[in-house]
Amino acid sequence: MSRLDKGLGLRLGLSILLIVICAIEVDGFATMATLASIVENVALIGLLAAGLMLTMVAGQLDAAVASVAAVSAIIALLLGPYSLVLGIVVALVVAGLYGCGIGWIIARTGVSSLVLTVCMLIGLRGLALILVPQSPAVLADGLLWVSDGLVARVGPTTVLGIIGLVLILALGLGMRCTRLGLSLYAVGGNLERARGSGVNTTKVYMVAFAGSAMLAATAGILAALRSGSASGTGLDSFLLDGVTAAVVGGVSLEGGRGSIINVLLGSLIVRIIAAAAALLGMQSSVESIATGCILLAMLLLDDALGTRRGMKTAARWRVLGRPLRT
Amino acid sequence: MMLEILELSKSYGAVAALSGVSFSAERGKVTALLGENGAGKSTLVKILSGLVVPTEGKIALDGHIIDTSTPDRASKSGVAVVQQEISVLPNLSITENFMLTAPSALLRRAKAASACRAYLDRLGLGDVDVGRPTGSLSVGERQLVEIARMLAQDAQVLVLDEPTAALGDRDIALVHQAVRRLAAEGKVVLYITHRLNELEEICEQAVVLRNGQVADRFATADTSIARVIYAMVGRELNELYPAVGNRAEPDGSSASNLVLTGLRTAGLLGSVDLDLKPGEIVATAGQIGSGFVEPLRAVAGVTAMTAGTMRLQGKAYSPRNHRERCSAGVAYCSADRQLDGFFPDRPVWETMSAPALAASGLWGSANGQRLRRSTDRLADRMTISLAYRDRAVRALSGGNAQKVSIGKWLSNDPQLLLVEEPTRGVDVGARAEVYRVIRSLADQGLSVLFASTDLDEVLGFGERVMIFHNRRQVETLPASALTRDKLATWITHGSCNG
Repeated sequence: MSRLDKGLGLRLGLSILLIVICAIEVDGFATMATLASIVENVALIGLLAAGLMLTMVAGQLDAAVASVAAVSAIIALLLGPYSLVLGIVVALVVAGLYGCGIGWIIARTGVSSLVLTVCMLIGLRGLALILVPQSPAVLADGLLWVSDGLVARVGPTTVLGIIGLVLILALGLGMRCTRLGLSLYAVGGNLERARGSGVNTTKVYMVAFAGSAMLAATAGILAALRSGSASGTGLDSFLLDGVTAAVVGGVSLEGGRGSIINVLLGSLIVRIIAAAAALLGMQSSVESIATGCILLAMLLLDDALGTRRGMKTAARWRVLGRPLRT
Repeated sequence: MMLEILELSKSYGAVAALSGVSFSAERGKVTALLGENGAGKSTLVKILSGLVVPTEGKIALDGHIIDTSTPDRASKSGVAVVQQEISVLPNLSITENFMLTAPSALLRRAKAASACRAYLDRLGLGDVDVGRPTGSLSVGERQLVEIARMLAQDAQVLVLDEPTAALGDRDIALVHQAVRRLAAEGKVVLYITHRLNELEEICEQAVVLRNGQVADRFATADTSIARVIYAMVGRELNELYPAVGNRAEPDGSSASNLVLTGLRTAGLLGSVDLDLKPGEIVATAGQIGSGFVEPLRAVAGVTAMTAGTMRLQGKAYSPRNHRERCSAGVAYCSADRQLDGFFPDRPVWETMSAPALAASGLWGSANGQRLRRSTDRLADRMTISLAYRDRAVRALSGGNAQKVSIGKWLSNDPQLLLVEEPTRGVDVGARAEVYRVIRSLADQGLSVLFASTDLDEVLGFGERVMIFHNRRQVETLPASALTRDKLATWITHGSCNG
């Protein structure tokens, strides 16, 4: 627990530090409007990062989230004129089934999830462009109230923010309080031993990738509803945004480690920087550099605190024939 | 009230792994299950754990036939097998490991933690913090967590497959204590081991398997080690340790191979001195934590030397890493063979040619055919069958795996071999083979320094013994001047009179 606490303290401290600095230094940062927008975006990116965390904790990576989000958003909006609810349900079910399939393939064949999902990233992007070849799918005029409703302010955030945060926290609760959640950590810790402890590893992979795809779909649909349109080339920043938030949130790429609350804080840190950069009128290139530096700093700090260092690292160094630090 | 194995047979095609094995193991007693690799032990264990279905025969518990046709049914019938590879997950806490095998889908942490504490208490591990990640426990403690997990599933029959093979003294004592408690609670305990001294320590009776049949059964109180070995191997094994070959000058005029003077490391309180001649085999002995492995690690360059000098064939030598050690012609095999000794899932030739490949530099040729041929030469010197060359090391017996992890260094033409626990996890028959091979290398001029917790091995295989106590070298004596009891007194008290 102490390791987790250290990681949590680090992120909490950094978030507060960033907020204080920005509030003092950046004009227009300390307003309700900025706060609401930050929280809303934290919820949106948090959904992606939480989905990625499911697969990363299980020792895998779902690199296809951006394309899954785009395709899901397009499906939901294309079916919108008939029934928006139907469109959303169909998009989520399709994403869930797709994720189950990916998880099953990875469990049964042992192919690298990174390679498989990069294939999907490319392939599904093509599908998105086939579904809406020219002009993007748009929300029907009669449904624009949905778009307005999502960005309606509720306290320090918006309806969209609340929906996202509730989903993320529910997921966190599920991971902490169910045996299935524990099984994800077990599989990511050591596949063979998880199997030896009676964990159905195929099921765990299917759940992880289905969860990741459905959360990406949710984020995609929410983003599309907010903007009122979904294009074939849209949402392509989702993958890097999500991975950055998850990694800044301390999720180990080696599997077996990560927690929702840290991922939320990771998303918060990334979004504070983005918001401050926007308010200062920085170019996106400068913002990217800042985000990259924060990511690198978090990795090094985690390593220094020992919150991320797994046993696998030690083992790898020994096999390479280098002496262990003792 | 007992576990009865009734005429159990299992054949794979024409090969019979078990044929008509019958014996019984009473509740409240620890029954040892002995046998060489290939004797049928592992098949029997797999049948009990439900991984293999027997061709014929039945298993009965307290007079009722039980169903062990699948792993699930076996555990429902009350049979629990603690495999050599334990399945406790290092990144989860003790409680979480418990909850992982619990039937409920929802986790109740507080309840699980108290249940977990109760089970660990029964095994003598009551004072451990159940919120700790299992990875921070010692291997022995992890072993106990695994056993506790099985108790939680109401296991009546516990099969322990070499539970102490990878453990140090303290952890062995922990596991022994737990096993005794389990037997006292009235469980059936089947204890598989290669360490014959465990027989008298914790087992009341023993069953020896050989070639898939029961070769012998006896109460351990009235038996001799010789009878056990005879039953296991099927012949007298009076020459477990090979005789020292002809050396011109065993001690005296010939030049020294390794000289340690006033060597100190962070793990030692005193300094270490040693003069190792070519062809000599010297043992370091001591309890776990007594620093007896330190000289090997310092010479290997794994731990840093803080004071003193090392001279290798007259030249100053102070390796900072494995690369410098290798180029100086020093071979080192750590006790953790799985991790350091070989690539378990890759073919034998890849492990055996790795040091040569590394020595050939970054731009050296990695021609597979050439590497395989060089492996053949090494395998020949180590008497490893050529048939194994393309098999995964994991599939080899403990003895052959050890020969692979030592033999790979021969390509660098080493002058000095450092081995930790040379025969840990190697069965009796194969052990003699490992000793013979190392001895024959020594007779060709190789010096050997090995560290071992097995006192019989220290005395039988070592020519001289460096004795360690409380992180100090207390004495160095010729093995011929020691007996097992004397050596035990030395390592526990640091002097010859307890």
